[in-house]
Amino acid sequence: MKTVLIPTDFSIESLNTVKGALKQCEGENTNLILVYGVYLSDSITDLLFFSKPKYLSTLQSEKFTQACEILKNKYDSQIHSLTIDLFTGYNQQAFENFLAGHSVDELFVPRSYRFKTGKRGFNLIPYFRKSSLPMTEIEWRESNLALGKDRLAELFLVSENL
Amino acid sequence: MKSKTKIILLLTIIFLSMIVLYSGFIYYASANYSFVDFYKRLEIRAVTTAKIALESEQDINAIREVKQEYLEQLPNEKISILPTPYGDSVRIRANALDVPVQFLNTIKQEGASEYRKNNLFYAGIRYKASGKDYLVLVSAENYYHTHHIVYLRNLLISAILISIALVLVVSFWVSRKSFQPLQDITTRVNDISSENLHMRLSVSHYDDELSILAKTFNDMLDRLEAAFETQKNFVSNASHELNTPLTSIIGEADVILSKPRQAHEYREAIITILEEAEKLDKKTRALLFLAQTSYNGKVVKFDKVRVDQLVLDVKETVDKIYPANKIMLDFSLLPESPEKLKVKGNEQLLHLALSNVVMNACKYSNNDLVRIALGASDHQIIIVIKDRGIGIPEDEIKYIYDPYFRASNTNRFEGYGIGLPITRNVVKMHDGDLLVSSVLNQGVTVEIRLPIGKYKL
Repeated sequence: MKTVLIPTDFSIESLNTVKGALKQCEGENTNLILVYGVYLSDSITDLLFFSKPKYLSTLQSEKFTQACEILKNKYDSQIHSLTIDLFTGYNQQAFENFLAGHSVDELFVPRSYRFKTGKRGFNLIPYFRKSSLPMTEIEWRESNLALGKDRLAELFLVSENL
Repeated sequence: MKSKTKIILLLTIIFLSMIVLYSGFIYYASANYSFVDFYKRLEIRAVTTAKIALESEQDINAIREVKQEYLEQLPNEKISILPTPYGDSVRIRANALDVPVQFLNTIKQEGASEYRKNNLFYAGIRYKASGKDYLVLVSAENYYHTHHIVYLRNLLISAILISIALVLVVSFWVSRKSFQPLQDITTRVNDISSENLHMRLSVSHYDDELSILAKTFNDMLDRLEAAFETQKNFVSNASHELNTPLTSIIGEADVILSKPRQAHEYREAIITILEEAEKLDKKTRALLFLAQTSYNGKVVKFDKVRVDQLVLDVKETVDKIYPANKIMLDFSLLPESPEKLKVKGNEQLLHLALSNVVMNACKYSNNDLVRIALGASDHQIIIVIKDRGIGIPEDEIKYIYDPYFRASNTNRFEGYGIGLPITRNVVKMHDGDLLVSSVLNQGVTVEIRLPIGKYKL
């Protein structure tokens, strides 16, 4: 059993990292953790009514969930679990704690993909790079079909370039 | 009976029964009260009279004064004081006073009693004074009963009569008021026929049931109008499509028959005619398919279909028609469990729908690379077909499901504009979704989503 941490921005294209990671870990039972970096509001009322599952579900589009399902079905025997989590820390130490807390074994990041972080979100790649855990970069060609939209088709169309 | 009259009747009955109930209650209660009150007055008279007649002189004067001043004479008032009779004399007394024996006996036993004969009221008490026992009987006519109660009764009856009229008017008004919008809708809808389908019902801005009904009618009219429009377009397009080969057949035949010709000329002409006739045949067959898929009259048999097998079959079919095609099957996202690859559907129809899309992709990209990918989420099987062809102009993409519509950049290619409508109908029949997105000159991406049939392994 192996636990793998992958950054995400809830776009379907970013899930190609997951595909790449799963190909690399072929034959191993894997716990996948998708992580999204966000600075949470520190207003007292926001904290009072904060619910992580609810917040996560507002971040995920229906297509993203579907794409995750497709991947889960594809790698049914390989994926032991696929969870989505938030990283809300401010420094490298917090990130290391996060890794320890989830007992992560390996990191995977996209090489050239630019994350499109939403409101209050931040890019996690620097934390990944500075971490001491083994890290693999995944490269794929950006989809040449300039659909401009977050389409489920993206998951299919860039597949062979991995 | 009209619901309008029904409502009038119902309202009238409800109102009237309530009024009658109230009136009856009031009448009964006041009659009762007037009885009780009158007996009490008689009793007071009996007591004062007995006091005046039987008590010693001392304070009689005061009582007499009170009686004369405050107790007016009742109509037909009669007072009789008699020593309490015993034994047989009770009956004799009773006869003399014209009251039943029972009445006197009750007075003797209980000290007081009341009795009424028609409008004559009797009250009696037993009175003991200076060691002797007396019965004091007072009788009088109840003026209040005869006059007031009768007056009350007449009053109530006339009130009921007036309220009948009122209730009728009110319920008529209410039913009219509530049925007016319905009536309006009926007249309005009657005015609408196939010639003026653009007419709509007026919808009030209140959100009541009737405006919802009107809105529903309007929505239905919208759909009807759209359907009419499509039908009209379809017929004109179809006849135009069928006319073209027919015209060339007729023209060819006309020309060849105008004068005697050589045998090879005849052959050429007949070959042309045959080609055109084949085109016609293709078109009518496509038309038939469209009709079969778009109307639910015929029950289509649904069975277990494996989508990966379907895609392979479609590729084989397309290989025959476009031998130069470059179809690339991408099964990299194929789910591990075959359960997730089975849909409930009709294989022929799905085959037709999918091959339409794939053939379009090959045709409009001049046999460039066409990629077919397959994947499954938890509820849907997703087939993505992507080409690198001419694409669809952005402002025309909303018409692609109209039968016989062909995008403006398709003139170089042969086709009838029936494929995609058929595909859409088939996918709809299977409760699926068809998504087409395109960038002009870069290609088209078609996503077909079909619900997973819940087949166990």
